[in-house]
Amino acid sequence: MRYLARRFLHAAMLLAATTVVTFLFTTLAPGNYFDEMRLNPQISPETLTALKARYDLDKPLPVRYLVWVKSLAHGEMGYSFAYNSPVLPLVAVRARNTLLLTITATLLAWLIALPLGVWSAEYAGRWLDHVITGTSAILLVIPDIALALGFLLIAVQTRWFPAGGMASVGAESLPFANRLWDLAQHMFLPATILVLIAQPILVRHIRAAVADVLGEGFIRAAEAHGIPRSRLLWRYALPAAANPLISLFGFSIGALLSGSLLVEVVTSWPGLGPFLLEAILARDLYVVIGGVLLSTVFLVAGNFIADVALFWADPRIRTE
Amino acid sequence: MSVRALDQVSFVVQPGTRIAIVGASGSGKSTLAACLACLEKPSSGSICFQGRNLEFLSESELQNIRPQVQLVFQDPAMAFNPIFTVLEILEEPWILQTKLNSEERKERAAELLGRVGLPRRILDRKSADLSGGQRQRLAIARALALEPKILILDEALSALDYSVQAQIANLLLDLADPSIPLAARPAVLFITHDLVMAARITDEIIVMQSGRIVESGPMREVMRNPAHMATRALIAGASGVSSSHEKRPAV
Repeated sequence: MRYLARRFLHAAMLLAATTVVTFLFTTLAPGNYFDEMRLNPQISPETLTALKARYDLDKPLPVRYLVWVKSLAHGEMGYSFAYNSPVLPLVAVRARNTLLLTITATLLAWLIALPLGVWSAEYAGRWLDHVITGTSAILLVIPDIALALGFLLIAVQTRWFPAGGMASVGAESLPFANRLWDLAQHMFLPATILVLIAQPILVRHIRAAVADVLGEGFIRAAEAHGIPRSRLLWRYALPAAANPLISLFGFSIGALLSGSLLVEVVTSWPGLGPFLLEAILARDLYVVIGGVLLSTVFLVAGNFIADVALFWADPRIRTE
Repeated sequence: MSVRALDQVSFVVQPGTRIAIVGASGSGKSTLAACLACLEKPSSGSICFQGRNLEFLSESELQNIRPQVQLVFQDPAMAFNPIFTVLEILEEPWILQTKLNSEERKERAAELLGRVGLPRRILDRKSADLSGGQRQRLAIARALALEPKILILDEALSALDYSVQAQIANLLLDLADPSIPLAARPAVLFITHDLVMAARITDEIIVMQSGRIVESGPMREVMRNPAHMATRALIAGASGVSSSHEKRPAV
């Protein structure tokens, strides 16, 4: 349990550090939301000063940070200048959409990568391995943005699946099953892009980990024991190769999360990506900080889940 | 450059016999063991099991043969899945090949452990928690779990101390107890470079050198009148070792 407590403490410290760094960088960046207003002749300098005072922008940085921490404790996460509303309810809806997409894409990516990586290791040097590693290499060199735009083009040209958004017009009045189907159709494009972005890394790591284990003496011993090859792969080799893969799972959540921000913008998925971009362009300080903080929370949570899974899977960690 | 690991090796293993395969390092003993256990395919020649040439069998047919020819490796630490408990290690083949329920499998595993002198309480432990001697006995128990027709021990006692070697030797002698029906008695191929232990456990001997059988026959006869230089060298080495070391415990 000390291991888990230590990991939890690390996660909490990482989050605290993220808030400080994000706050510092976002605040120290030149310009703010009200600088844009200065160009508007209808808004007087006095009004601007009053607005800055209202949002505590006239106070020193440490004070502003403490005020923001206080508002975080009150469940507000600061105040959006553009939406004139607390940040948390605004980002929570977008974060939910991002989570939905990222979790779906992560699960799909692993479901596809696991058999591909295992088969690639089992048939190392044969044509199936060449096809899998070759395809992975091609996907690895294609920039994420090119892949996203390519699939968007296909969606627009073929109309096989919706090219943007999260739901069709009037979908909210549909029965639950139809709504779910509509959501699945809309998710197809961004999820496919994210899965393809994640595949090369996952397949290569799984292949390497399983290939290592397949060379172990206990696999040979089990083979001599008459254990069928498929069982050797899935019941022996894969669980024995699990440790680095569990760590990779935590990492893949983070990678897909950061990848999803770009994909969301390209495919108009109403998640944190477009919302953060909009906030950055508008210099909506607390929305940017809130969005980054929530992304970090997901990333840290993903790694913490991986740590817990590792703790459960590896007795050596439990006895540490 | 290709190396011929085995050349013109030919012998017959009858049910219930105990044969020592001895030779210096690099003489091809372990390659022979891997071929007999269907883990390696010979590039030429044939291995027949119960009249069937293994060369012409499909992978699924070989899958059925493998449990009947069990190989115990030299290094028991490497032979077990590190994430399996002792029970999981022993019950794997029963899950696949029998309809025993979990309780029955557990009972049978405990019985098997008792046969190799291991306590029931280790069933829930991982192999890494066992000593070297316990692991090797577990390896033999796992091999016996399948009631094999041939049990091959590839330098299986080499890394063990003398007292554990003696325990396992006794176990192997028990397997050859004449009160056990011949059909239930596995043939034992004892691959070793330890002639002293081989002479205690086995009735026949095959001496190998550079991938070839250079001498074979009944153990006593070969030990008394070795015909080949390699056999004489092994006997000389063994007597040197036994005279320079403390006396081994009686088997």
